[in-house]
Amino acid sequence: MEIIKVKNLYKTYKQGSDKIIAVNNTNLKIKQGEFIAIVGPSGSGKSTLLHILAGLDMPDSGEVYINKTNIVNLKGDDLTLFRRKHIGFIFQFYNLLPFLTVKENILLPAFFTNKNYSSYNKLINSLNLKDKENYLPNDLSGGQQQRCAIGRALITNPLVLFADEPTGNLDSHNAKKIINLFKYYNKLGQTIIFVTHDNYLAKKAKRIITVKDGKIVKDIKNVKTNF
Amino acid sequence: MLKLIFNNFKQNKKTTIVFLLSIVLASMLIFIFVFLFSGVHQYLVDEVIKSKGDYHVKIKTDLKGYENFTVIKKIKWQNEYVLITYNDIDLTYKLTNKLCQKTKCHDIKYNDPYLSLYGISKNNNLLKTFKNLIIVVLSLILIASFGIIYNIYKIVLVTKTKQLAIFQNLGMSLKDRRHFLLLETLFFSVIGLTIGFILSILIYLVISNFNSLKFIINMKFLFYAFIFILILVFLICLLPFFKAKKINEKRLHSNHYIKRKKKFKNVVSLIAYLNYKRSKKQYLALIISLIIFLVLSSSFHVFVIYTENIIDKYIKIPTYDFEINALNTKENFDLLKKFAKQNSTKYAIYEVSNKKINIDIEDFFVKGSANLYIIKGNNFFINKREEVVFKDDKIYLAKQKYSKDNIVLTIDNQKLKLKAQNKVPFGFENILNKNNLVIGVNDYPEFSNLTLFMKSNTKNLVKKLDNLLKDNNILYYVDASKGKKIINNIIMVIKFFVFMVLVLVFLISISITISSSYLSIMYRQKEFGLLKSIGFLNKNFKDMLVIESLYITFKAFICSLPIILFINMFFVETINEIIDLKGISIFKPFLLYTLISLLTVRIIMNILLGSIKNTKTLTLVNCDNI
Repeated sequence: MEIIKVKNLYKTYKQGSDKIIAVNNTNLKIKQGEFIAIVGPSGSGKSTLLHILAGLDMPDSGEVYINKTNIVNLKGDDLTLFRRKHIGFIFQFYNLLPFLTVKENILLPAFFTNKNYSSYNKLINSLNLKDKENYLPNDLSGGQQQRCAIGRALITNPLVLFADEPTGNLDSHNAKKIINLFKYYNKLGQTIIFVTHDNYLAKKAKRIITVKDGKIVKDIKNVKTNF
Repeated sequence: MLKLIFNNFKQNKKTTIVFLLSIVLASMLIFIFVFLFSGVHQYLVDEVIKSKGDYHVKIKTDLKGYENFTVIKKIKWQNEYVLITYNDIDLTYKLTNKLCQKTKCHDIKYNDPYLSLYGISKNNNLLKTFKNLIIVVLSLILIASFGIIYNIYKIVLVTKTKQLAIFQNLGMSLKDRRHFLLLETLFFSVIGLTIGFILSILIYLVISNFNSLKFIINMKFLFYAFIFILILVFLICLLPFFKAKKINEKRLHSNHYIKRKKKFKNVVSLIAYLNYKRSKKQYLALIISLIIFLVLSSSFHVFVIYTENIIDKYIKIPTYDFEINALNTKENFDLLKKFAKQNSTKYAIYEVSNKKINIDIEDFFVKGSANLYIIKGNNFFINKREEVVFKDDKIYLAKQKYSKDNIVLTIDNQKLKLKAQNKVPFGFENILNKNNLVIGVNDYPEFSNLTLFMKSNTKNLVKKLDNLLKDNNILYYVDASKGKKIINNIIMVIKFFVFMVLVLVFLISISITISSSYLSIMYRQKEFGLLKSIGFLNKNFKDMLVIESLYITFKAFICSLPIILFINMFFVETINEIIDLKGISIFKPFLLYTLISLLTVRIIMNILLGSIKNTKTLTLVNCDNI
């Protein structure tokens, strides 16, 4: 089932007097349960594409349908409400709220949606953070913080999980752990789209989309992935 | 190095401006106070010189045997008296004692009003008390200045520390980093002080246009003010250097285990509470600025109320311009009536019994005697005393009692026990007649005099009165108009000074609250972005900020309360030492300013929230957080 549909997406940035095309007339379709890596060189527009898909940024023109809703037309609180229900996002630099414990950070989105968060225990155990649930983010390692961020993104059982360079700030050992977690949740049916500049990690995904100069230059199913 | 500093300022315009503004405002607070105080002080000195002269002491002596004239600035002979002005006013008493050891001295009279303006009169007078109060006021202002600059810099400190760490990582030596900080600090202090100084002159010139205050540059006070601010800014700005060192050595992982005891049903209240509870440092600057605002504004407000009460209660301004006394004859009565009709706008003539008695007067200014008028008549005209009761043809003074046995005035029909207090300020007894105590007794013989009290706008009235005096028709007259003007002006200047200080303190401390609120929100943009990214709606932000502003204001209220109580106890103690004045409530102004601070914080937060609302979530998330 198609859950994301992108039509003629176009986005530019101004850099001084220059106009940079970050996303250049992009079209894309994503099905439920896919595990996609978006790769490309630095400045190719991959993060911009991801942010637009996740509703964190707005295109200059084009349409982005998530679950048949064109999120480009949503503004303000409507967009926030939509994102709250359907989207989970993981940042490169974790971006946990420093004054909340691990448990509170993870459960926070669930509080907003008033969803039943009985899945919390299962989630935190799968993240291997049970013994750290009452600690503040400052007291955790990078890998632990990122796992906490994953938990926060997954607690509401979102339609799609987006991750922007989730391993960019981690050592290789922790990076592997994160990707393995992604693989685990994808096996459970979670749609995951992540951006990475690391080709080795990208190969772990089932589908690899290569972006260059704002355009999708390659979109292949990764048959070699070790699942 | 200079280029690096200026680029830094350009990149961080907002924080640069806010920090510079804090120095400007703190400087203005001190400078305007110095100008106001100097202006008021000079005004009072000029008035005293006009009425009494600028001599330090007058003595009946021929100065035979005295040789040490080098210590004397000026000598003037007036009748039998020598009016001496010394080079050093502080040594007046000492030098006078020495002089009188060398030569014969009689009737030594110190120019108390003049000496007390320089804080060296031996009489316990109101000016000395004002000096103590001004010391308190100045201390509060100095503490406020420190708080203002430190508070804002605490917020700037976060980025400053990070900056120094980056410099270190890039290979900048310790010496260079110190150099960078010192140059930056020098820049801030020079610019901030200069702007603050110029602005305070301009503001002072504007406000002094509305009254008789002169613009006086007291170099000594200004020098101290400059040095104080300079030292303050340097001390505060060097903090990040020590802070950065601390962070390098600090262990990052403290394994801090949190047990949250409180449960909140509402997630917004939970976040607001947790944020406040666990990020106290973040709110400290705002809380401190609120405490400064509450303490300063409430204290000065009470100070204003006390000053007004003291002035209103104890400074009696005669309602008449002239008082003319003559023997009680029909011719004199007709003469006075005719004179009054021709020359006054309002008048009253009384038959009086003029008994001069020596009353034991305890006062702040001068010891002496009082004229005791017992007045027969219906129309009460003088001194508008509410305590006077008319019955038949006599005036009765209702029972009065002042505290601490300083002033006791009771009416026992036949017996008079009284001590009176001369409340004429600054000893202007030469201009006004001595304070008249109006008192009634059951029967008193010999209403031998007539007294005409009149209000007049007639020019050259003094000349006409002199002519009457020459013709021996009148015994004496008193010109109260001149004294009235002077006293009115003095009262106006004092009230103005006190009110201006309050306005100044209020404006400056509220502007610091505004800038602290602004910075506290601006440095949480990342936090707001994160909350927005996980589903915080605009309404949730508003509710969260309402709760936070309540927490912050309540905390500031609790912390300010003991300080305010202590300060007001000090005021009450000081004032009650001199004058009996019922304790004025501090709670009303304190509650008023608490409400104002809450509203200010709410309004600023709401305005800033509006601007954050329109910013993209991603832009907010990518900001640096505090």
